[in-house]
Amino acid sequence: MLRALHSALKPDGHLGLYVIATSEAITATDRAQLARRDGNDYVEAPLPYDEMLSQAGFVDIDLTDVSAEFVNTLAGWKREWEAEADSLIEVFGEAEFTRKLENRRLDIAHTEAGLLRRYRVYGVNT
Amino acid sequence: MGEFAGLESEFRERFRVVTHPAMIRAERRVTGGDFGATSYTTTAQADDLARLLHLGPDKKLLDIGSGSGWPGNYLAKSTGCDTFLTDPTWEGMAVAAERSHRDGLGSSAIVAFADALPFRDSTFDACSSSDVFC
Repeated sequence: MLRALHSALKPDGHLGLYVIATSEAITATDRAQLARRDGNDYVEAPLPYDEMLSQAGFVDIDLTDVSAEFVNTLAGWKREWEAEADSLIEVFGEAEFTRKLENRRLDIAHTEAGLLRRYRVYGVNT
Repeated sequence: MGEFAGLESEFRERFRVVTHPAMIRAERRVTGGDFGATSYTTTAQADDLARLLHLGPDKKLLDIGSGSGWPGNYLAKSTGCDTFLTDPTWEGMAVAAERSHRDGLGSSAIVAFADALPFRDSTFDACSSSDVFC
């Protein structure tokens, strides 16, 4: 995918991504469960992002850990969905709404435990 | 693309409900946006991307996995850049295209996978994405 972006960008073009990475501490089973539950947000990357960007042809690579902000945002979603519970239960149904809130709680717990990290990734195309 | 196949219905279901008034109220309070997103990228982080990517009216931006148009449509609105939104879901791109039309942003919304982009090489000045790459 990064190679496709390398091609689409002009030379000296800028790449800026937010990505969620799983810690090496998380087990393969847990990782697979996270991927099934939340889609591609948490599928394992084959290499660290700086290495992947470098291999794809990017330079001036910078990774900034924004996990603390990620926890705040996750907590915000949980809080605001709880505040809109009556309306959102009508949208999703009670079981699905409860499942989604529980997923937020787990995301917060996983990130606070260091099992999930969120990064801002930047690179310049060559 | 194969990994996406099993998740397609889940992603489509997301975009069925993202413009519900309760979802928009929650989004405004969490991210500061109202683009029908359930994203982890806040408005402040999108502004940070705009700065990093040197976006402006003379720049062409490719936003990958835009879903309902966040943050691509926001970046088009805030910087005036010429934005191309891509996502594998028709439903997400329909929401994004409607918002672009309503706000007069001129963004192009294109159903495409990130590893099979329908663009010529060396087309874009910048590329953004939010929690698509893993």
